[in-house]
Amino acid sequence: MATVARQSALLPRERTAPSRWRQLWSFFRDPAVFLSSIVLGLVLLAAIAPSVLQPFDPNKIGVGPALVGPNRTHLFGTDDFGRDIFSRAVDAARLELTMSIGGVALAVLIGVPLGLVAGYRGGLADSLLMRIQDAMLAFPSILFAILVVAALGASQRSIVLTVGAIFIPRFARLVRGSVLTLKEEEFVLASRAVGATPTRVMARHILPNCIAPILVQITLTVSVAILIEAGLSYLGLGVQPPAATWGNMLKQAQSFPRQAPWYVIAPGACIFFVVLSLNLLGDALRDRLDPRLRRL
Amino acid sequence: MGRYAARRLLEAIPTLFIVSALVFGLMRIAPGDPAAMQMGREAARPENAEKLAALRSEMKLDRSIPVQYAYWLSDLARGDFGTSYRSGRPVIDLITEKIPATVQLLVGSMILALAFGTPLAILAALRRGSLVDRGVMAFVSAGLAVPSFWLGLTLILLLSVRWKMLPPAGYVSVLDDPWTALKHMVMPAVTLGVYLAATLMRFLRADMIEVMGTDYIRTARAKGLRSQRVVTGHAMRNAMVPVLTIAGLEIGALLGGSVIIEQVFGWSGVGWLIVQAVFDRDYPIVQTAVLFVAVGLVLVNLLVDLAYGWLNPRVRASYGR
Repeated sequence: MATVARQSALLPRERTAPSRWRQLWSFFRDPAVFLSSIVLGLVLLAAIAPSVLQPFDPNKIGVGPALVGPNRTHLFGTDDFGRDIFSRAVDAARLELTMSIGGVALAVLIGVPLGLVAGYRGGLADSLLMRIQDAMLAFPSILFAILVVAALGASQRSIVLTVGAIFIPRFARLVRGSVLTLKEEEFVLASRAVGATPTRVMARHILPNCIAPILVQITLTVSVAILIEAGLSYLGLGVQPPAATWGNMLKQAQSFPRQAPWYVIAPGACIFFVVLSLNLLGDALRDRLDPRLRRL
Repeated sequence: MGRYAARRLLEAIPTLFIVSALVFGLMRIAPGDPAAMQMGREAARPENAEKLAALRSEMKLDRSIPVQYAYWLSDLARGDFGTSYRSGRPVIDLITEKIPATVQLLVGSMILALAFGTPLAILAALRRGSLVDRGVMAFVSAGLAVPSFWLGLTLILLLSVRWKMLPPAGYVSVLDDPWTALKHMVMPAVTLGVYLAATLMRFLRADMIEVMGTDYIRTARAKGLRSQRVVTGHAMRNAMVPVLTIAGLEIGALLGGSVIIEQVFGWSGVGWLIVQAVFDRDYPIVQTAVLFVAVGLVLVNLLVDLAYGWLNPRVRASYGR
């Protein structure tokens, strides 16, 4: 990377890469990226300022008659307590995002340094890490999550911990892989030759070159985290009502298949579109930032 | 090959220990006194305090955690998996009863995913950019994003509640009554199979495109083979190798998915048992069932690795060094 940068500096100005803004613009011009960004922007808005979008208090009982279908006042209808489903779906965004992003952040904060050290140092730390990784992969994510929730109780905290624990080895392994190739690069050897400490080499030279795959992985991981959380909530092992999550709304909805089939649609569609947007954005980011990982 | 197999087997041993330690550790954090739960309501009575203490020492609960773990391992080695708090029956019986239901669901969804995904993915790869290809890519994106339980609930709403075509829930063994079993299985198998089909199609399509661009395919064409022969005889054979590996590795995801699907469709398999046991705080069941699944997956992964080494000599060679 560093050598490439050096070379491009020698080229005439006009032949260097297009400006950052232009690159960003061409990225967003892709319809998949554009639509995904709109969906995610809305979810972000719902999470930060729910009251802007909510026509009703999400937890207030009886803002309308119970179980009426979608209409002009109640966009997605009302639930069995006469609460506005749209307002509750909006309200759920904050919980979904804090839990999934919190869990992934935990995984990044622990997994990335672990991967750096394991890849750079090798030896015992490395083989231990790989064995733990193998062990974690032996649990289907949702089953591991159930195990943790059974032990720690169903709460936001245990869901964040679970998601973190599930993804720590994945980030560690990703970074370790990059480090193994990077540490043989000339710029790393050069920096070691002039006497840089291992910490400095890792932080200044290796880590910056791992950022792209990490960023891609974060996008794709948050979507899996949302699916895990939704699955737990659906089983009744996630955040408990009256707090709304898309998963526990679905759990409640399935009691009224005859009276209120629409109740099932809204929360599931929220999960679907958010996860789809994150996946599309992640794929586009990967194609853009890290062509080596490109999949057809 | 022997050397490669031996090395992979050796590597699996520490993994199995870590898996068992994780399961044991987490279940020991779980609230409640196992001895009291084993005794049930009787434990709360003051006159039973002595009995409770005796049971505690019999269950080794007065020893340190590492010692308890060692005792647990030796129990496992002797085939003693404990008894359910709730029913008092041996855990192993409860689990083995439920295994056929889960296997039936997994096999059904795998057959469905392979039968549906393989031809479509190949067609998509051969006609890149066509309507079929775009349809396949859309299915892949949607299949990876759709929450399985939502898909299942929607299917129930449409096919059972509205059109009354299929029974909404329940497990019937295919050995008892194949026709009824099939009707019960359609929706759960489709719901579970969508994710696998999407994953398979994504990889098979990419592999086929790569293989179709290689020199030996061009050679086969140049020497005048019909394109059908080229595809089935030459290209598919090579493209299927990674696909089989993925199918093997995705068994884990499939098992995880089945935990939720079984809940949606009231399918009383292993996943259903685990979730029920979590609600009942019947920890011996949770502990053993999760351990079974995890150990099973380690072994499946091992087999997949060995099969891959057998199919692809380059992998073996890189291990031999």
